[in-house]
Amino acid sequence: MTKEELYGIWAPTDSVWSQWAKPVLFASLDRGFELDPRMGVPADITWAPSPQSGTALVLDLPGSEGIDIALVVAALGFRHVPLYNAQPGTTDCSYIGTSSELDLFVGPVALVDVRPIAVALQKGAAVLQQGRIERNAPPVFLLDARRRGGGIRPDEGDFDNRSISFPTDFPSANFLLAHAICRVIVVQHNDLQPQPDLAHTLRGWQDGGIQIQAKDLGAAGAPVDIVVARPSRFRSILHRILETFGFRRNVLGGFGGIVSGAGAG
Amino acid sequence: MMLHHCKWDPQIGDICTLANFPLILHGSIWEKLSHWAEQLASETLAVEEELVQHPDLHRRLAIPWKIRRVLQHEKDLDPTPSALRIMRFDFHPTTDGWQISEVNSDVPGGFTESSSFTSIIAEHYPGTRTTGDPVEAWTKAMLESVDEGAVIALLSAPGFMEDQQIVSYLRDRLKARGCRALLASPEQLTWRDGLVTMNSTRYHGRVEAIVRFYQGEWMTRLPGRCGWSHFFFGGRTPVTNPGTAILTESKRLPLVWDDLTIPLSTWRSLLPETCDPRDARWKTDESWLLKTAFCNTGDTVSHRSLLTEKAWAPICRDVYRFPGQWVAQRKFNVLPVETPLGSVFPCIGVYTINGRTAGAYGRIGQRHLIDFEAIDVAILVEEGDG
Repeated sequence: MTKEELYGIWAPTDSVWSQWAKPVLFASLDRGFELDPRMGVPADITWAPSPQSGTALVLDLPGSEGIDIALVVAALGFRHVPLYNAQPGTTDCSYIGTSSELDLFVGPVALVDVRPIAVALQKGAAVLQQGRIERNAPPVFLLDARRRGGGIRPDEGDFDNRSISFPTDFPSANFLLAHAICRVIVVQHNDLQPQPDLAHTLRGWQDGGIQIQAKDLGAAGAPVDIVVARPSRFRSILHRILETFGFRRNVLGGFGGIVSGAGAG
Repeated sequence: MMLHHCKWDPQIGDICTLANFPLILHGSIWEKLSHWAEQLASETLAVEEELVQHPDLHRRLAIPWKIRRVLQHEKDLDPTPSALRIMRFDFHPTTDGWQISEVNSDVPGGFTESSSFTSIIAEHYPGTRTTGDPVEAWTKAMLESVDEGAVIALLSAPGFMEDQQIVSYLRDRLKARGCRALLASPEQLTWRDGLVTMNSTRYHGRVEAIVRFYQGEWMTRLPGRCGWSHFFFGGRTPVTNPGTAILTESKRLPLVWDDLTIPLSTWRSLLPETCDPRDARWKTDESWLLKTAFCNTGDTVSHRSLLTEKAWAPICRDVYRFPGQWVAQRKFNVLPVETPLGSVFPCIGVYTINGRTAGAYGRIGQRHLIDFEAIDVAILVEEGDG
């Protein structure tokens, strides 16, 4: 299977949500590979709502854990939208294997190890191929909860692939409402409040009339309503640049002081 | 584009940032823009050279003090050689003819869109041609400045996917031509006797050239051990662009024109009136817009009509508090173009490499502002016309 075919499975052209899928991890899969449908233990999704309930999911879970859940809720009728936005390394780090063994990646590991995600995307594609998801299925957005590095201090020479999630990585509240999504459940571990970067998106949705709920996978019970606190510098006129100047630097823990300013002109 | 040409941000919020149609120019228009861009590049390089000798003007340009210190105390060292020099001049069709809003002299972007994307679109529009392939020209110029099989380090800041996709694209193009191109952060470089070595888990050794996709004003945040002053003076490893590009990147550049000997006739004829905010009635006169000295991707371009009162207020406070970090510029009226998306406002960025035009980067905005929400559009020229 080529990376185009793999991307086509995870971001099919007939889904309205596919335009938000992030291509970077798929682009790094430089060589063809065989699908491997072996999956782990199915995730517990007894908390998950019906896809007919006008609910979108945001799975902010570490590594490939979000993919495990996405595959199970896909069977219910939710449409996966991978938002993994980090390179596994330089081109010296390419996926060359046909199995899930991580050492089939050549080259050094980056600061945020996204290789298990790449492997899970490959394995999950086989599962998705066996099912069918409706065109108007509600979305389940997939994020790596470790995207900001998890407080790890990079060693000299590491390939630093940390990233943050921006509101512009998601559809707007208006777009969600126009597609009959009026509730969003954030799924994460050990907390009900979202990570600081994701809070910007959720607060925007909340202000736009979307009900926000949270599900802590470490605790029993159904998702609960949350009020997303107004993040620092929320919707500032310099929102994007402030995110990068100050917000992002704080989020990343101020590593090296080298992250600043917006993208180049 | 996404899987083979490193275009990793084709969607920004609800907006698809790649237009599925081109803007087609008459050949004579492209010829004119191309000619102006080369004149502007020539003037810009001359100004930059003169400004290096005038540290007294650097504060007025809002150059960060750490860089001012380097420019003042190390200017007697040899300037670090430039592997090549690329700039992009942003042209707008206005009610007063073609005008430019600025030059991206330090770290211009838009390579993927102006090269691969434009070529792909051109295939579907017979009777047209591209304005050139800026990255092909860039690669060729880079290869002329290094030995065959050279190791080239491409610098960008961690966390900036929009920048990493560009250096990844350049890396792929260099690798296709036989170079060993490596992504790096400035902290992975060590300067010794003016030469650079790279220390990473995958490569340790000499680097023959550096591509700096890392903005000048950010360098001051790097630790001193990075030796970032070598991007300006005292380096023997070629850098593109050299650190001194920050002098002409400043949007406050027009504020020092009258203190220089270069006539700058093309700049003066194409740039709207630009001044220090303290010299303009921007608060009451809506013909002025504001931007910061190191505005990128239109992030800080501010005009009352584009903002809510709540958003405008902190801008005003910041301009009053730090006027030396801002610039006021006469707002021009961009002529809209009818497209499948409706009326849009175009901006045509023209690249020059070593002073010669290398192609164009098109963007369209659905309001009078080209910022990160602008849509990338291929710029094509009618075949056989001019």
